[in-house]
Amino acid sequence: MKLGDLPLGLLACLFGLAVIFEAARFPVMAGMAYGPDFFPTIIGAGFCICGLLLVSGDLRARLTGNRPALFALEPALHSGKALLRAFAVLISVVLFVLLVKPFGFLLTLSLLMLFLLRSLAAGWRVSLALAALLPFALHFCFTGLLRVPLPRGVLESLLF
Amino acid sequence: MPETLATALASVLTFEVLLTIFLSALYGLFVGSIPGLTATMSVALLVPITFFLDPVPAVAAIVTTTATAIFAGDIPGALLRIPGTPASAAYVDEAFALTQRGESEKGLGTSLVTAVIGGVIGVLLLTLFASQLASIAVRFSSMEYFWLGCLGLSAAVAVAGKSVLRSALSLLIGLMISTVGIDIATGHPRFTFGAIDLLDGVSFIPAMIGMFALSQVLRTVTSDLQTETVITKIGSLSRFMVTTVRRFWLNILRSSLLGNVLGALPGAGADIAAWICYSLSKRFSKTPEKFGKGYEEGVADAGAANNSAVAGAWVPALVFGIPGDSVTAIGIGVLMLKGITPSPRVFQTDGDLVYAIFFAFIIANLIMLPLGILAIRSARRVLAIPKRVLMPLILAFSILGAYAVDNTTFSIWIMLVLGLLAYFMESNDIPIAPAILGIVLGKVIEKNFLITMIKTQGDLLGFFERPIAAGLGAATVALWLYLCFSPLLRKWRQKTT
Repeated sequence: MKLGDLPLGLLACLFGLAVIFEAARFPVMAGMAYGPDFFPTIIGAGFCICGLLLVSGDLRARLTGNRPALFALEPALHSGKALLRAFAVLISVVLFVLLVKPFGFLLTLSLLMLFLLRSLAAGWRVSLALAALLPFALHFCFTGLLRVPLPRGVLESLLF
Repeated sequence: MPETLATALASVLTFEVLLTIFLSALYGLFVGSIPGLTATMSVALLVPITFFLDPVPAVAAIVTTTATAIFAGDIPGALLRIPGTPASAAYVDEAFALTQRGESEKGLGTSLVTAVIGGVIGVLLLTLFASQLASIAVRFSSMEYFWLGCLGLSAAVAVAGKSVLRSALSLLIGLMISTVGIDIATGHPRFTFGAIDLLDGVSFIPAMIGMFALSQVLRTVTSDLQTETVITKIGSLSRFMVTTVRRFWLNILRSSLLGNVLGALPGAGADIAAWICYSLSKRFSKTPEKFGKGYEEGVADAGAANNSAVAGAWVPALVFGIPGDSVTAIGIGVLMLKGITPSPRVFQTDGDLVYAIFFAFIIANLIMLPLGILAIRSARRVLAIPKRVLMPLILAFSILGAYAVDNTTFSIWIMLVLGLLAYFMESNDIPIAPAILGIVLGKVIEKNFLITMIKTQGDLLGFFERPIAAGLGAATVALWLYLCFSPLLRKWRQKTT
């Protein structure tokens, strides 16, 4: 998603203002000239200045007759299939977070790998093989070699 | 000193470290040779694993992966005209032109041998510079560190990307992320929105993985899943390597030196070193008319420069804790986790470890020669791995990597949010590198600012009281003025001519 300079600048300005307002609510310590609000306020002001410069550049271009687009979608995102694939990637991450505690690492990752590989139109054979083997390989590396405890579930309690 | 060197060498020449270097080299060559996967991303994905290694193998893994990935980026660049990493982009046309003439071995041989030589020279310079710089820098206090941080950030804005405004925006995003968490002076939670996991700040490694790996996965699944790879045959490599070194030794030496210095500048990494050395190579060449039509000279210069820059980036990282590029930003994080705080005293406190890093670097560059030949020979197979299979694998590694660092699923949310942010930033031509430096340096700058203000009781002129601080401050202010007024100056000059 590509924003034109005008909306991008406005977005930066609004964000900068929000930061400044939030920083103004931080408590001030007596006897300290510069408190926790000092840096966030500078950063917020920086956002506002950058935003204003973007907006003014865009408006100048408009006055001289150019009409920069307000909003453009990358050519890659025009196809519905590409959007669906991106959605599949994002939903896989979200589902992993939600499912890994109740179902355990092995089952969650293997289901998600199968889902994602099939969503990207990988062949059935590769998808099934990876979905079956990869979680175990990663489980071995992380819990066996590196000693990182991964969330346990039904499969883990059956196997280990 | 000789004792430290001996212990350092002994700690590198163990089975564990050598195996780590070997595996990391293979991993770096593999990831680097896949178009779209950068050296930074390969390191970010490696970090969760280095977490559980000892300090020497952990850092050895990082330096080896970077060095080999930067070289391996040349392979698809030469064969397919798709640079494997941004550092190869400068001379991709040159190397591809050689391939089109059926002389792919010339381009690839040149880039391999110059990468090895550039890398080794880079490490030697790193050893020299870092210890010299450290002996000056022991006298630095919070004022100097404050200015160094500011100078680093300003340099990052000045060199990264085409538009200063957009680089500045990226920097602000990074600084903003660095303010999240408990304030160091008063203990007040800032921008945490009530989330306990954010009190400690935004976790750095999940942030890196999101910004480099997840955003790349998103970009790849939406665009180029279909690309077919057709690769020509590659002839004998070793013959060309020897002749290249004989013909272009002066170029290699010059670009290694310059690349190292450029790499040490915060924000200017291997890719910028390659661009600058390529254009200098053309300007100083005896036969500039051959450039762009398949001529090894530019490849030799830029190939040496980018690998030398990889080592140069560690100079400010080790001495000041200020990263020279995104990879060393991650490297600093790993060092800190291992209980090693980069500082001018690092040569005294952790001397054996620092020299061990240097030795690991040299070994990594040397084994790149045989492994590089292997990588070039097997390029056909690596490049044929379909992206639709590779991307889910990378996503699985990213999720697990983010999770493993703090053992909490909250890190995965951080990865997701920052991955989307990085995707949005890149879509809007906002470079990522300044944001990374902002995240790392934001805390350094704020901490040293507050310490100085406590020392001077709120007197801002305190920042110019010490001579070195005043010099650094003047340099920073000059750079700011230049950044603000250079567009106006350019316009004024255009009007007068």
